[in-house]
Amino acid sequence: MSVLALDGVTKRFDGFTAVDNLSFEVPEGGIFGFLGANGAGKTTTLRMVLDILRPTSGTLEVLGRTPGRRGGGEIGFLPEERGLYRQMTVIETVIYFGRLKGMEPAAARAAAQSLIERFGLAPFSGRKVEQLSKGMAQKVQLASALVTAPRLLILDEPFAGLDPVNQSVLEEVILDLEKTGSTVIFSTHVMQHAERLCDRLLLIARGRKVFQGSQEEARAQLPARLSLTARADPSRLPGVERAESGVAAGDGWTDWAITLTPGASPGSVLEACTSTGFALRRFETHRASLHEVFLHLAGGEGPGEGEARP
Amino acid sequence: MNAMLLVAIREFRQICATRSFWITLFLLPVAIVLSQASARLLQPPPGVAVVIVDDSGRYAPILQSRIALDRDRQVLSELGAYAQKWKITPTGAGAVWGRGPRLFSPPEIAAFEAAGGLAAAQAEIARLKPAAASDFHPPGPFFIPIAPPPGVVADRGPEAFGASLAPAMKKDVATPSGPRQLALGVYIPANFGAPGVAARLWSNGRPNGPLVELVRQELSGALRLQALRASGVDMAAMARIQAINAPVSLSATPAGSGRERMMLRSALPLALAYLLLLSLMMSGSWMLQGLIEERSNKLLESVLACITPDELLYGKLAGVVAVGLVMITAWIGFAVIAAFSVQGVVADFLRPALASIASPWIVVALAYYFLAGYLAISMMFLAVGAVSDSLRDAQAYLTPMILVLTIPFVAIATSVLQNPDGPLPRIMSWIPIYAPFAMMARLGSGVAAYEVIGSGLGLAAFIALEFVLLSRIFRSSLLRAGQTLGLKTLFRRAAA
Repeated sequence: MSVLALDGVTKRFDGFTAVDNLSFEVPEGGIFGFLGANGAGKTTTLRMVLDILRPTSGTLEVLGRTPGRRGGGEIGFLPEERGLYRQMTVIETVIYFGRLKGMEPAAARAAAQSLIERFGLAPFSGRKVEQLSKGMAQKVQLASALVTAPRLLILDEPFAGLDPVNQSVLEEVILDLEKTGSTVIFSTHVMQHAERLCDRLLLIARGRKVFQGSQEEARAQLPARLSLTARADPSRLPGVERAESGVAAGDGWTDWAITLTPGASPGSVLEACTSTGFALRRFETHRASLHEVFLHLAGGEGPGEGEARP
Repeated sequence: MNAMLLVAIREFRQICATRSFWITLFLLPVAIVLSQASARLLQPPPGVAVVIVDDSGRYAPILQSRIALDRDRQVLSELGAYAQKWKITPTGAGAVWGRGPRLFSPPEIAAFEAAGGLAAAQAEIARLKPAAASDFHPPGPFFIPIAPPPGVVADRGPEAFGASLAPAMKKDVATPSGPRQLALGVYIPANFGAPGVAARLWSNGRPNGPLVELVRQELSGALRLQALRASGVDMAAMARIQAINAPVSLSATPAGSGRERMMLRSALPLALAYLLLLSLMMSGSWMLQGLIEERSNKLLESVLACITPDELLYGKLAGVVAVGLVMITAWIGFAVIAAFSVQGVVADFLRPALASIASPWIVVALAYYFLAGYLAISMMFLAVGAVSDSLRDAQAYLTPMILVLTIPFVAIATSVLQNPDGPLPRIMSWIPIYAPFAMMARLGSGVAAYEVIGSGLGLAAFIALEFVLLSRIFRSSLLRAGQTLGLKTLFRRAAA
């Protein structure tokens, strides 16, 4: 069962197309990465998922329903641009958002206290938000998103502005949620986070889907690379597209940088070397990073270099 | 509890938690009390002193007698007003004051004095006054004749007298009524009346007109009498002629009738209209600040992920209306406490003023226009907040909006006090943004049913239109920051 399904969704603002005929599904459970450069259409898509915006065309289904506030407690949302009511206390803030999503007062208070303790905010529970550090305020916002124990948690650029310590805290929270069976969708343009967390990815550029699949499938989009130290020229080996000789390693050995043809695996090259007696002193494989995949698929539009947001 | 109510409660609590709310809540009554108190403290006590030096010995008694007569007339007039207010009907001899305030004739004054004057009247009042009535406090005399104060030379001619008056006129002098300003010095030479011999008057700054006129009239009268006597006119006939007073009957409408009645009946609704305007300006700007803070704090997206823009809009409106109602209730409470703490005000002002809203239909109409006015104008503030990224942005819309609202209000208030059915109040009653103020101000003095219903329906239609347009602007503008918004874009969003 999918928790989210988009079919041909398009969103235009005053003649600008922010999302263009986007279709994808997110299966229940696991962590789903929603990747794209700034201005690629990620936030607009997520706002449509949350019914903050309505699509110009196309259909969306969230948890089996059209987007809306019914059952809003099943969805948690942490927006990219974060802010809280500065005059409210920590506990009031979390309870308030719980109640806005339909929780009863006692349940909201209990859940809020539990989250506040979990995030180490208990000593600051009665403190006004304006008196908190930025990191603590972001934890309060995360607690507000989690207070209903949502089935689907949507995080829009959740790591933006967090220090490394709080980034790892947030990563732990995301992994914990996955363990409880929740589905986490997070958008980011920082590929390292996606590499560490995501089971499946969706990459969009200029509002259009350019890739959907697992990390392995994403990496397979780029030709594999090898580093060899060999006596002979490896360019004639099967699957090798290009071989560039590097420095001489002495005693007739030379370092080579190999680019394989698309679809060729490093294992088949090693097998060919063994079967033909091709002498090797070093054989190293290089996996393409998501960053490289991103650059490759986004057509040169690097992370953070998208078009201006409407 | 639904989301709208949660938003309303949060909005209400946020505004009530601000210092400016409490300052505003108490500022109005404190300002009124202070202005009243300072006016009383700074206002000089009534009455001025006059020094009369009469070397002839013939004219000072005439002047003093006239001053005493005027004083009695003044006391009688106040006694008459008091009797009318507390419905006292004195029965004793000389109780001429029991028939209300009027222009008392010299014989009436003489009868009053013969019957014991003020002391006898006070005794009568003590016997007849109702329990709730305050005591009668005679007004202070306008003119107080006194002996020459220390330092004033009265026996060395007019020049010495005049020169010695100057220092005494720089400060208050002792009088039987307490320290008073010495307003006039009068020097009448021994041979006053002889050709070329003048009485000399010294005034403290600008001459006290009524006092100078009194002196002039009495001295002229005395000289005319002497001249007539010298010409051989029958003095008995002369005395009869002198006693003739033109028969003038002066009647004043009692408090709460006539033009005064109209003003009193308009006062309370007009005060309500003013309070509506005042609280709207305050609560509207607080709501605006709150919305701009939400936009600039980037927290709207979190809120809108939980509730619809309409729920947020209605919740904010409900919250700000609640704030306005609390402010108005508090101000009215302060006013009632103040009114009951000042004796006589209830009888003089509040009762006739409250009579204007005695009809349940008028109360319903007042409540309708008040709440409808609050909604209509608050939504304008909310629209400004929805399209402004900062208070600076908002100021560009707010300044003209406040001018458009307040300037006609002043014109409405002035016109209503002159004529509630005048063309301006009637026209304004049909313009939705002014209808609440104009109709509230007019309701006390009576408005045709067709006007109340027609104007009310127009206002309701305007509010419904505002809801539709604001809802669209709200939805399309809340998450769009950093955009310069022209009228064209605004209309496009409203029409979207």
